[in-house]
Amino acid sequence: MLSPPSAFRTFTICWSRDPALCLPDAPLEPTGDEAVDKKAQETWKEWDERFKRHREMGTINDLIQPGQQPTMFEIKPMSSMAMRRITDELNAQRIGFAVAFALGFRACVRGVVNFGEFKVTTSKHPTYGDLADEGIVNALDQLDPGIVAELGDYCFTRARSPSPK
Amino acid sequence: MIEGLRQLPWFESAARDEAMSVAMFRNCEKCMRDYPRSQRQEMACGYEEPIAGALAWRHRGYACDEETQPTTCPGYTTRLPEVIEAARAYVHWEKGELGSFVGRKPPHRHLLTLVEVVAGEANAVNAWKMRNPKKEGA
Repeated sequence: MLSPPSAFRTFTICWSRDPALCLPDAPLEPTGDEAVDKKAQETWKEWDERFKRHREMGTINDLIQPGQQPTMFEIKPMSSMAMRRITDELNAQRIGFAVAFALGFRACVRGVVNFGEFKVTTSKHPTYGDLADEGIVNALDQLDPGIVAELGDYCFTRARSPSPK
Repeated sequence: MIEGLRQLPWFESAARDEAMSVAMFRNCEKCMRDYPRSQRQEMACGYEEPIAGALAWRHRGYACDEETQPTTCPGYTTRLPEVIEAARAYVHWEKGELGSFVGRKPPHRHLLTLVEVVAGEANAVNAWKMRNPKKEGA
C-alpha cells in the first residue's frame, strides 16, 4: 500500500498530523502559557523535520502507530501544463495560495485509501487538464483545512523542481 | 535529490576504488549505531537536524564551489527513492530504452531531468578517472 516517492509513477503520501502516526504529545494550539507554547512549537518543528525525512525516504511506515493505518493518498506527478497554468493564475493574482494548493493537490491525487468509502473521481478541467473532483477537497476540509494545504504545497513544490538534496 | 544524483556516480566510484574511505557512509543503520548523534551531525547526516559547519563527504573530483558543495551525507541522499529510481532509469536510458522502463513514451520531463543529471556526473567521473589514472599497486 505504501509506495516511495517517484519521479514518474504513482506513489502514496499521508498528512503529517494524521492521528495514526506517532504524533508528539504536545498541544497543537497555543495554550496561553509562554513556556508551554514555546516547547510545543519546538516539538512540532522537530516532528515536521522528522516527518519530512521519512516522507522523502519513503519510510513513513516507521512513524505509524502499531495496529493503525493512516489515510494514504495516491499521488501522480503533476503535469507540466497544470503546473504552468496554476503558476500563471497565481502570478496574475486571479487565484490565491489557498486555491493554488487545492488545485495542485487535485492535479496530483488519484486515489485515497483508508478514508471511509470515499473514492476519488477525476474529470477534465478546461484550464488545468485532468483534476480530481472538488469532493476530495471538501471532504478533507471537513476534518482540517491544513490537510489540503500541506499536501497541495508538497505536490506543487515537487512539480516546480526536484529538491536540492 | 539533485545532490544525491550528482553524488551517486562519485560515491559508487569511490566504493569501488577506495572502499575503506566511504565504508562508514554506505550503511546508515550501522553508522547510527556506531557514531553519536553529534558526530553524525558534523558529517552532515541526513537523518539528523543540520548544524552549521557540517561537512558532507565528497569525492576530490566532484566539481563545486562554496555555494554548491554538498550539504548532506551521500549515504542519505543516494538512498532517496527518486535517486535510486533515476539511477535505474539511467541504465535503461543509456541503452535507448527509457520508454520501456517508464512504460510509456515520452517519459515525464522530471525523470528526464534527473537522468540527465546522473549522465552528466557519470561522464564527469569517467573524465576525472582518465585524467587521474590509478597508480600501479595502488
